[in-house]
Amino acid sequence: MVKILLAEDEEVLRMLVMDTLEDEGYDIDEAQDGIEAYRLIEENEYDLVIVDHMMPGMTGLEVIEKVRKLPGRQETKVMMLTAKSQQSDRDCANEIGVDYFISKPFSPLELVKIIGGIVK
Amino acid sequence: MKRWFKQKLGRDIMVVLYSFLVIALVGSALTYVYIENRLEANEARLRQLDERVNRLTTLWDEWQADQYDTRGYLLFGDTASLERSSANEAKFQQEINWFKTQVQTRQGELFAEDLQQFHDFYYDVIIPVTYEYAQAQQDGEVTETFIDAQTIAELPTAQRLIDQGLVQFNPQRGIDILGPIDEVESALGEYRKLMASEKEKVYIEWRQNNNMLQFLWIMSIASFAVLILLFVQPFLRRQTRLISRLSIASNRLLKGEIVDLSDQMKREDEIGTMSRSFHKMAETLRDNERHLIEKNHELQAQQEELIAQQEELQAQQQELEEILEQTQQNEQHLAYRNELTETLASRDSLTAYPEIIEKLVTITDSEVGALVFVDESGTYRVTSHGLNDTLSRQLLDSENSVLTRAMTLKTTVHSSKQVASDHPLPYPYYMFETAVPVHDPTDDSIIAFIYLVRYKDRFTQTQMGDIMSFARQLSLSLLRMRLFEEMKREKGKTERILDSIREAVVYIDHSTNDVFVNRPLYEMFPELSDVSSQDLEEETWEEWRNRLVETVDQAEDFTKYTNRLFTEDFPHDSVSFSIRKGEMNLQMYAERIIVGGLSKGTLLVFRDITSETEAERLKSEFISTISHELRTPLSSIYGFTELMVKKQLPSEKQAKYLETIHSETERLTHLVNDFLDVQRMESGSQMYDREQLDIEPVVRDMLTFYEASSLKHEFELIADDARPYELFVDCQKFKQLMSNLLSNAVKYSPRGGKITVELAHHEQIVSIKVKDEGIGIPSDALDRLFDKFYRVDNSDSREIGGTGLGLPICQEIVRGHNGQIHVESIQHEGSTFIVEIPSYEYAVQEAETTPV
Repeated sequence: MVKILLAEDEEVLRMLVMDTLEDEGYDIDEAQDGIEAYRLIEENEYDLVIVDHMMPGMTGLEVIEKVRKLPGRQETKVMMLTAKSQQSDRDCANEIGVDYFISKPFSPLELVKIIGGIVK
Repeated sequence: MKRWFKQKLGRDIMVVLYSFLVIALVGSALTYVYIENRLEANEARLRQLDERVNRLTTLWDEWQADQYDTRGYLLFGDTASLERSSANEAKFQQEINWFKTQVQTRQGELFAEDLQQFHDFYYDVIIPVTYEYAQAQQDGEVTETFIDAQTIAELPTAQRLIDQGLVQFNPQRGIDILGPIDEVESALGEYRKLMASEKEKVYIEWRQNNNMLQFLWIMSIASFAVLILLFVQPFLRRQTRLISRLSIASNRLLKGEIVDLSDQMKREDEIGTMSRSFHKMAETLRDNERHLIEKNHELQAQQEELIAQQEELQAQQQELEEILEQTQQNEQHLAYRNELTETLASRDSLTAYPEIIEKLVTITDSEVGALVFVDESGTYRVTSHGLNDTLSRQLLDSENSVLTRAMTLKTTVHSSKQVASDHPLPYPYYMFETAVPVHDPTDDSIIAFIYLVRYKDRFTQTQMGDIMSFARQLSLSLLRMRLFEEMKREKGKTERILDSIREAVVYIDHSTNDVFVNRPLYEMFPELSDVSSQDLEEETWEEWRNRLVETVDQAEDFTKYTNRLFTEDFPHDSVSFSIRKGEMNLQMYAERIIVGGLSKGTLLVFRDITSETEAERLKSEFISTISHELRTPLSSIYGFTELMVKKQLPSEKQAKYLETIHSETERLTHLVNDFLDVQRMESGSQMYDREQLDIEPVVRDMLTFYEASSLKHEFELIADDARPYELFVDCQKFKQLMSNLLSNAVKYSPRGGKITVELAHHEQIVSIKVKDEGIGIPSDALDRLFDKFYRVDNSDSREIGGTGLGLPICQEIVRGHNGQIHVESIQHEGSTFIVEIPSYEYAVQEAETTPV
């Protein structure tokens, strides 16, 4: 079973993504902020990590930066879901080790397709 | 032997001295022995005489004692006395024998005989008779009381003696015994007298001997002294004379006289040796002297020659000095002329006029002089050297003065006149004046005169030439000066303009490499003020650039841009950079200054774009934040609507989604409203429709409304003052302020509690406190609480939604009414927001006094 972590501080958005992906049969963990997300990634091995950028505690980028330094987490696939959509933000994310960049607002169905492509 | 004496000077002296010593010693010894003997003989005689006297005395005493004894016996019949008297006989005889043997003199012998006779008589006659008489008395045969001579004579013994003829019988006296006794007595006395006279004689003799001895001593000492005087002194004098001759000779030698010591030189002793050496020395000296005299002559000759040469040289030197003086004069003349030309050429000619005229006076050998400037209206301005008031008045005012004449004739005028003897010389003298016009080269009008005066003689042709050429120089110089003044004015104007603009400007002159900067550059780079302006003035553009680049944060960009300035690739764009670690943002652009197709210099302009950049940054940050804030609710709406459109959903899910979409849309609306408010306030376009407002009823109404919408919270209004709480505020905005504060109080006390609003009057303000018993604010968040989009970041607050714009809006409203807002809070216990706004009275008063 494909295991996915969703880190998003906005409850409404978390519900949206959860509802969409659970229907596809993925096993999803939730994190409300950066610190919790980092803890979960440290403890579990996920097929995909979806992070928001603007999160309290630690930003999404900070989480990824730290995660990439963890043993066995260099290859973990990371998707960034963010309201910051400028090219400079994309470049910055790429540099740090974000594999996929989805800007808000996004289409939940499109997201499902992309994730399907990633984890198949 | 003789030779031995002659070898050493002291030897004969010593011999003489020792001889005298021996003679004196021997003489003394002999005298002593002789005198000693004489004395001893005297002493022996004295002793002898003394002994005789002593013995005589003893003899006499003995005899006297004997006599007494005999008488005693005779009178008292004491036989012991008679025995004593008889016993004396031997002693008596012994003494007599001594005299007999010891005394060899005639008197001695006679005396000894007398004594013997007496002895014999005494012991042979007296003693036996006396004895017999005494016996008779004892026997009683004689009873007479007084001895009767007759009785004695009748005695047997006496009879026998008479018979024998030994004694004479005297009828009156019986036996005559007194005769021998008297005889012996007188002999004794005489002999004693003799002895005494003998002794006296010997004493006298002894005294004489003593005197003689003393005399001999004195005589011997005296004779010794005389001998010394007689022998030693002449000897010493002789030797001294020899030495003094040497001394005199050396003195004479010293004086350069000729010395002859030949007699002394033959001597073998030290004086001979000395004389010989002295002679040798004198000869050597004479030789040397001769040699020296020769040398001296030679030297004198040389000196004379030298003196002659020196004189020649002195003459030459004098000649040279004269030439030098002449040259120096010429040089001085030239130097003055150069200085004059230089002074004229310098920029500061205006202030150098006194110097110019002073030099001109010196060069032309004049006494006094003046530069007289003529301005357009025809008035004179005088700069003089040594010109007194009288002369200057004469010169300017007199119609006959050279100046007036030169002005009229427009040419050079000379004059000579005799001057009265009052001043400045005490005798009459001639005064030679000249006035040379100076023309303006542009229109040939007269702009000045050179006026010079001499007392001695006329100006020479050369001096006149000097003056004329100077006049031409001066005219050019004045023209140049006028141009220079004009230029300076222009430059000052440009500088003032450049200094008053906001941009900093650096101008690099291509021909001189000089760098000119305006004042704003120093304001932009205060570091430059640490360097003295003199140093900076001399620095090249490279040095300037190195100074500037130190403060530039993006040094590489700056360097790259400035490197292109002097290449083909001249930058026509601009470069932006910050300085002093972002303290200021600058934009720099460069321009070439091209005059007549030639680039004369490069202009660099620095613009301070700090505020522009900051505004831009804030704007873009604001937009970025807005977009972020808008995207979140938009995402929800977009996502849920898509799901509802594209997917078959159960009805409860649909209802839930719709509810979410609704609330998110509402949030979006709030956000947009808040954004607009903030934007309006920040841009300053927010207009406040102020009015006099008693806030107490307004706050009370709002509290009633909130009380109705919340069951968990209790509301209270504290407004104790009887005075109305009147403010000069925009009612709508005030309500928005209170609404924000109250809804925050409700939102951040999720578990309910009391919410208190307290109104109070202070001196010039009214304070409004909104107090809750909610989650409170962490102390580290207090500072940023009024920042836009700031939201306290913790699990308590996260669940509570918000745009992060409520408090900034409150702050803007309060500030818009010249008030203040701040917060006091203890985490987990609650927060109190305190708003202070000027009271109506004060606010109106302020508004009246402060001009709009």
